[in-house]
Amino acid sequence: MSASIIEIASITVKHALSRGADEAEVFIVKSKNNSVELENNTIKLAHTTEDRGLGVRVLVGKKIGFSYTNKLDKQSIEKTVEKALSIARSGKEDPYIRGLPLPAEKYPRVEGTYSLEIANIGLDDLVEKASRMLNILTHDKRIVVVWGSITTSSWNVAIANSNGVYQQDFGTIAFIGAEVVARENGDVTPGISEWDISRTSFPSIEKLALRLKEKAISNLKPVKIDEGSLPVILTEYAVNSLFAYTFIEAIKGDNVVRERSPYKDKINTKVASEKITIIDDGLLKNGLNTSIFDGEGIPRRKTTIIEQGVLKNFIYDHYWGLRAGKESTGNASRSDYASMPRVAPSNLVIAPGTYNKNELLKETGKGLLVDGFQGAHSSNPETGEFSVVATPAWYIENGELKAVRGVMIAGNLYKLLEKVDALTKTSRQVGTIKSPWIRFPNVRVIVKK
Amino acid sequence: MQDVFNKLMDYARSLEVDFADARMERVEKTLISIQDGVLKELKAGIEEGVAIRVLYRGAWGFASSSEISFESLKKALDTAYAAARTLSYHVKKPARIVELPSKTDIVRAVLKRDPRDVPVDVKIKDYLEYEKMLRGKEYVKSTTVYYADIVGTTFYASTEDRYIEQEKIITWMYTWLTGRINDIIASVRDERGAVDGYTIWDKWDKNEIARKVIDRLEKQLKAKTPKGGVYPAVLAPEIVGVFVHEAFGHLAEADLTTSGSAISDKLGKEIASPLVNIVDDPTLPGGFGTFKYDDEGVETRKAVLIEKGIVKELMVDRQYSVLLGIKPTGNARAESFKVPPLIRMRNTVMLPGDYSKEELFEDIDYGYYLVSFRGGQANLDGTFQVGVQEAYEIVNGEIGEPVRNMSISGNTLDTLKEVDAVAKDFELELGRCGKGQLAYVSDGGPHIRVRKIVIGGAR
Repeated sequence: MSASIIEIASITVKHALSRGADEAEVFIVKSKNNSVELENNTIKLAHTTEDRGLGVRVLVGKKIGFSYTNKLDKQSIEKTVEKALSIARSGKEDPYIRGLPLPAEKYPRVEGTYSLEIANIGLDDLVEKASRMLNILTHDKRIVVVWGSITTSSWNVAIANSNGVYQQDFGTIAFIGAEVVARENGDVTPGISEWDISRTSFPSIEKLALRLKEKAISNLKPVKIDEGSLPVILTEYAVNSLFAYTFIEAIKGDNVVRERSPYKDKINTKVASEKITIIDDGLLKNGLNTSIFDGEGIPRRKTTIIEQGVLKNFIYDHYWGLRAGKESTGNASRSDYASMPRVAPSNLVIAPGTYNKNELLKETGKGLLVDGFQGAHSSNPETGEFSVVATPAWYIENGELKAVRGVMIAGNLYKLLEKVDALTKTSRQVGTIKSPWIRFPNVRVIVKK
Repeated sequence: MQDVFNKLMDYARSLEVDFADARMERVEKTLISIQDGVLKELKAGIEEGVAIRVLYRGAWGFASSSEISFESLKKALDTAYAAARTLSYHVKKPARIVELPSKTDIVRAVLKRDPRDVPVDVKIKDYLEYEKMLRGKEYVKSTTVYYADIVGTTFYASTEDRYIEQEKIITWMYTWLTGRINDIIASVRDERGAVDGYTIWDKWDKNEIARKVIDRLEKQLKAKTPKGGVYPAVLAPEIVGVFVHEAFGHLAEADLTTSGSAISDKLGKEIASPLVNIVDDPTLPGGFGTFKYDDEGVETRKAVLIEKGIVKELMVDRQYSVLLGIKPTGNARAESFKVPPLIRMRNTVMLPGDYSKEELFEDIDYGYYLVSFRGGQANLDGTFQVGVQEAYEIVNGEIGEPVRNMSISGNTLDTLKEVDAVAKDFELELGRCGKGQLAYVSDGGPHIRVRKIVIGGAR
């Protein structure tokens, strides 16, 4: 097995055609992870794992079949092809299928997706970093590290199909993060986390640990607040959590075609405050999900979703693009070789605003700063309605932050987006979304009496 | 496999490790997804590989391999050993684990109908038929139905001379239905499964499930929104299940308890009404979390978490068993051979009491009856949130009008104290839990009454 994965992909496509597939696509991932994990104030475990595998998608007429294996020897691959073909034949036609994608004339150059530093870092270095992170965090006796991780991954992805798609890409990523609680005089904070992710260089342990420590300590000594309507500022963590189950669902082309998106008839209409501009940027420098091509071998690109409050585009893969009468926007995503492509954003970039954080807090007067949600996944993607516990959260009073606990906020994200009145000028990517802090002027805050 | 493992464990012992184990898994999955009448995804595949752990001078190393020849396993063990050695220089509190006696056992799944013997076209036909039943009403705008069967065999060996083979087979189905009437859009979910093979349609009638889900959707479309505030409530088994799992269960996972969860200083103390008994029971028939050995090769046993309101014990793995002096419970589970096991729940349930279901409603002038959940989540500090997708008002002791878009929240310990009646019925729900890794679990209980709970909901 000395062939490169792109060669294996290409040979497997030809083999599938020779066995009776009308069209075939082969996706291969080879990856290596190094990780050191913290738990309960100790370094728990160091691990190295290598993984690789192949997924094959075949079309027999308008019938589709998919199979996968984590063995790349000839016999296992051939068995996997037979399995894909046999289930495709026993399936039912999908009348909307119009074949697999064609290769693009040109593929983009991407920057900031691979780092030799990250690819070559040894487990002993990660152990040393983990030890340093633990020492800084637990230097303050009020802090308990619940969980932490220092992880690097590097990978090689290849895709080939019977229309001539033939591409491969390489990537690296480094993740450092932890969840802590702070305790003092019988008061215990909820779990408080902070993480940094980079494709291009190793994030600073010291910066992260100090930021996290400060955040946790500031969440001690909670105050009681009254129920009512308050301005609420969401940090980049809170934005990722709440948008994941609402906004992101609303802009996916499959949900639009299936009438599950409230935005379905709203192209070129105003759906958000003019302060809101959101771009799906598959080419974002140092972006978590930046790559040359998507899960079907279609070039990544920039797609404007909302421009100054006006809805401009949805995101599509090949299949749903065709069903909508559009082109793919390069938004087919695969979580691994064993999964079929599905529509998902790449890097969703919310354009920053004009405030610095302290100015924003001061100007807010009385309000709530929210860094995370419990129950965000119980939000309703079709309506945008949510009713979630804001945790951790702080009451804002004239620029000062005081911890609050057990506060729920409820509302409708799509309606709230229309009312966004301030964004900070700094933004960070801690998940799919690269976001500044966002302020909503009036949100219903429920407090347990 | 036993021969290769024996040789590997001999090799591990020659490295003078404290402990080592190997867990080989072979998992065969079939997945069918249907959207709006179209067979959208059809997938079948196999993954096979080995997870190896080494404990060396109190430090854990882990590696995995997708090749299962002795040479590949030896290489993976060397990698795990090297990782453990590196870590051992930095470990301040060396990890110690429970050692178990030598043992060989082979556990086969007991099936009424092996899903591998059911041709895929039969499965497709069944689920297309069911999906079609969901689309009768005009207000139903979109349907998604998933079916999956997962056939797994685990081969476990340790330096204690343990060798265990265990088969686990589950079938699972999931329904998501979206509807619209004028401006109101709503969606509802349903999830169920079986552990005795391709038997979902022997246990439930397609028409009946479809009717139930459609009815739930219709109520979400037509119902009124709840008044926010604090009210008494009756919780049906499905809600009790998610509460027991999310709000309480995670706090009693020993790793999270030790990290400072809301019950970290409550062992042996009364935290709940004396009517409350909660167990994590791996022996309940038909549960997704029913198995004889966990992923550390430990015999599973029932963990009594709360007895008459008092915290009795926690769910532990080999390491927390020693750390906390709790007899091993067998709660270590791994999502796949690619990851090390974590402390996870199995079948977490509240035990039934003496009340009749009807009695629970009698004393409530105004409150809510919560029947089915959309999702739930909790924090270490004991705050929880559960989104509710089927609920009713209770007015003067009677079940009243349906309520839409509701959620409940609060502090777990406060809420457990407010339980003032536990009924004698019991239901077990089959579902999934994510704690970084996915696990198939069950939860459930009887109907219960809670004097006060925070009701939230979008207006």
